[in-house]
Amino acid sequence: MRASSRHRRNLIVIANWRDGTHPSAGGPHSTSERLARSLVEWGHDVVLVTAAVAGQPRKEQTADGYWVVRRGGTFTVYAWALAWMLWYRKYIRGVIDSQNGIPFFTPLVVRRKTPVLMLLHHIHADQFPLYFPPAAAKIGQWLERTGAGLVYRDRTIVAVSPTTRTGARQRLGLKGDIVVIPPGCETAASNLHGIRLRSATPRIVCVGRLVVHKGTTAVIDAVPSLLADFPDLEVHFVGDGPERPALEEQVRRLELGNHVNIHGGLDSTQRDELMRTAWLSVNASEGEGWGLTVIEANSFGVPVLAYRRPGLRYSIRNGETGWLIDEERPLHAAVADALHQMADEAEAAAMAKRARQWAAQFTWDEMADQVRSLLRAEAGRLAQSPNNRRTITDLATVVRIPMDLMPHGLVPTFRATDKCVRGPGELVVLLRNTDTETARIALRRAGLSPAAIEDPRIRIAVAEPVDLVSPAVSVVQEPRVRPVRGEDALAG
Amino acid sequence: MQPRLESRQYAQSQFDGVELDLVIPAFNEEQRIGPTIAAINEKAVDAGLSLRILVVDNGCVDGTAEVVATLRSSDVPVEIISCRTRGKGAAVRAGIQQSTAPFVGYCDADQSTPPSSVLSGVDLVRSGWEVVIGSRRCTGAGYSVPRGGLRRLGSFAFRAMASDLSGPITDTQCGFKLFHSKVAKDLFSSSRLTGFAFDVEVLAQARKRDLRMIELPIQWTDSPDSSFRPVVDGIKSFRELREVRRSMSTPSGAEEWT
Repeated sequence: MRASSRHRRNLIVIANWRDGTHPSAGGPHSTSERLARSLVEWGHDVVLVTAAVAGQPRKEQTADGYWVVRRGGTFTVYAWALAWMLWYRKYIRGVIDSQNGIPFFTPLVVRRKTPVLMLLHHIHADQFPLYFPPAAAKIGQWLERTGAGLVYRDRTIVAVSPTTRTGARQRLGLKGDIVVIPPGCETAASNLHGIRLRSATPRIVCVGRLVVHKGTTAVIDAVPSLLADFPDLEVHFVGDGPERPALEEQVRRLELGNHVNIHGGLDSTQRDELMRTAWLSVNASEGEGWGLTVIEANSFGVPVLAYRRPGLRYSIRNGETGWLIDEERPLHAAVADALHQMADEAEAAAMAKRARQWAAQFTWDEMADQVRSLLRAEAGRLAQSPNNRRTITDLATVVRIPMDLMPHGLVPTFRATDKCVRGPGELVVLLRNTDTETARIALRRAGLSPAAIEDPRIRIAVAEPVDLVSPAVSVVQEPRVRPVRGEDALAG
Repeated sequence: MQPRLESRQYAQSQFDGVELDLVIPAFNEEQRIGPTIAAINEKAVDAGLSLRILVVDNGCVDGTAEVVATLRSSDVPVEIISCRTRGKGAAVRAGIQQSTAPFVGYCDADQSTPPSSVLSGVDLVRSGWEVVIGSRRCTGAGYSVPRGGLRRLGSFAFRAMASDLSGPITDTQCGFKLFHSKVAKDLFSSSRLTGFAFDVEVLAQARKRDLRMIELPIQWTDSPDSSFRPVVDGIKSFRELREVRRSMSTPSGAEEWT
C-alpha cells in the first residue's frame, strides 16, 4: 500500500471473489464496488480484495478512489485474501466479508476486536450439487454452514432481504445478529422528484427476463378478462429470454396483438422512458431474492402488484406502494381493482408519491451508511467482554411517535443499529433486538420524557419482516446516530 | 400500565367484555399458527364465546408476525406482542401479564389441543374452577397418534421426578391450561422458570395456595416438528425441576429478600 501513513490506519477491507473486471462477474460484485465507492466518499480508505484477472494489474487505485488487490483464482482467492489480510491486519479497522457460496473466513486472520460483517446475498446450500461433483458439494455445504458457524460465532451478519435472514438462521444455523440491509437501486435517488408522464390510457409495464418462473404467461392470461372494463388497456413486457417465442404464440392465440407488446431487451433509457408512462406494474414471479425490479418501478412512481411470495412480499408495502395478493386470488380480478384505483387521479398521484419515497430509501449511499453504522456498533460490541454482550434475539419492535411528542430542540438519539424514518407527522423507529415490553426503556434512553412515553398516541408493535427492510415510507431521510464505544477505531 | 399496542382491537377489548384471553406462545410458527388461530376463532364464534387471542412472539425469524397481522385485518380478534427472554415459560408469562379478560389461558400454536377443548375448559372456569388443567393422561384422554419411545421414556421419567410437586395431577406438561385471571397473574408473578418445565412450578404454586383445580381430558395430537427438542430441552427440563424444588422450599417471606 502506497497510501500515506495516516490513511494506513483506517483501512476498510471488502473481500469479494470477483470484481467488475472479471469476465464472469455477477450481481454481488457491483454491491462491493458501489459500497467501496460510497465508503470512499465518506472518507474511508477502502481496499477491495478479489481474484486475479488476466490483463488486469495485481494492485491498482481505481478512478473512484478505492484500491483493488487481485490475487489468486476462483478457489485460491480465499487463501490469498486471508494471507493479504494477515499481513496488513494491524491497519485493518473493518472487514466486509462477501459470502458467495462460502465466506472468506476473515475472523481467522484479523484481530479479535476488528469488526467483520458477513455480507450474505443468498443461501447456496441447494445449489452446490448443481455445479460441483458430490464430494466437493459436500465440502461446500459444510463450509457454508458448519464451518462458517465455527469461525464467525456471534459476529454480525448483513442479509440483503428478510428471506435471506430467515435462511441464515434456519438453514445455515448462524448464531450472530442478522441485520437486513437491502442493496441499492441505481434509479432510486435520481427520480425522487421526477416528472410523472402517465399515459392517457391504462398501461401496465412489466420488466423481467422471459423465463418460466417469472410467471409472464399468467399476466398475459389475465388480459382478456380485463378488456371488458378497460377496452384500451396496453400491456408492455421489457426483457428477453427463452420463453419469448411461446409467449408471442400465446398472444397470437388469444388475439391480443393490439394490447400486448413484447419488446424484448431495451436499453436502460428506453426502458425507463416506458416505465415512466405506466399506471402500474405486475410481477407474477414465483419469488425473488430481493425485489430490485419492484424498487426500480417504484422509483418512477409506478406501484407494483405481486403475489405474496418470497422477496416480493418484503419489497412492497401493501396498499401503500403497491398490492400484495393472496395465492387463491385470480390475477385479473386483482389487476382490475388496482387499475380502477389508479383511474382516480388523486389516488394515483398519492400512490406514485409514496412509491417514489419508498424507493428513495434504497440507495447505495444509504446502504453504505448503514453498513458503516453497523461496523461501528460491531466494534463497540466486540470491545465488551463476551459475558457482557447483549443476548442476540431476532425480535424487533416498531414504534410510531407523533412529532409533537418529540422533545423540543433536542433530537432523540437512538442506537446505531436502530433505524429512524420520518413518516407523515410521525417518527417511525425500528428498534432491533427489542421486545414490546422493553421498547419503552429504549424510548427513555433515547431522551423522550416519561410523560411522552406514557402518551397513548405512541404505538408499539412487533416488527413484521417488511419492517426490517424499512419500517415506513419516509418523507425525508434523517439518520440520527448516537456514537457508541469503539467509534474512534473507525473514525475516518 | 399496559404498553399500547398497534391494533385497534387491543384498545377496545378492555371495554368489549372479552371473556377469555388465550395466549399462544410462538417460536417460528408461520406455517401453523394461521390455521390454529382460524380454527379456535371459528369454534369461539360458533359457541358465542368472546375471546381474544394473544400471540407472543418469542424471537421468530420467520413471518409469524406477518401472518398474524394479515389475519387481524379480518374479524379475528388477535394481537401480537413479543418477549425477548427465550423459553415457553417466559413467553406465556409475558402474555398472561398483558391479559385483561376475567379468564386467561394458554395453548400451543400447532393445534395439538383440539379447539373444542377450549370451549369445555371455559365452561369449567365459568362454573367456578380456578385452574383447569388439560391432561393427556386422565380418564377420557389420549393420544390420537402414539408417541415415539424416547418421548414416552422421557415423560415417564419426568413425571416420576415431578410427582412430589404435582401431587395427584396426572399430566403437568400438557400445553393447554385455563385460569381465573387474578389467580393466573398471582401464580405467574410468583414463579420464575422460563423453560418448558414452567407448568410444574405454576401448578406447585397453585397447590400451595389450595386453589380449586380440575383436570380436563384432552385428545392430543403430537405435531411432527414441535419446537421441543427431546434431548436438549428434556435435560433442561430436569434441571428446571431442581430449581422449582429449591424455590418451593424457600420459606415464605424469604422471597422478598432474594
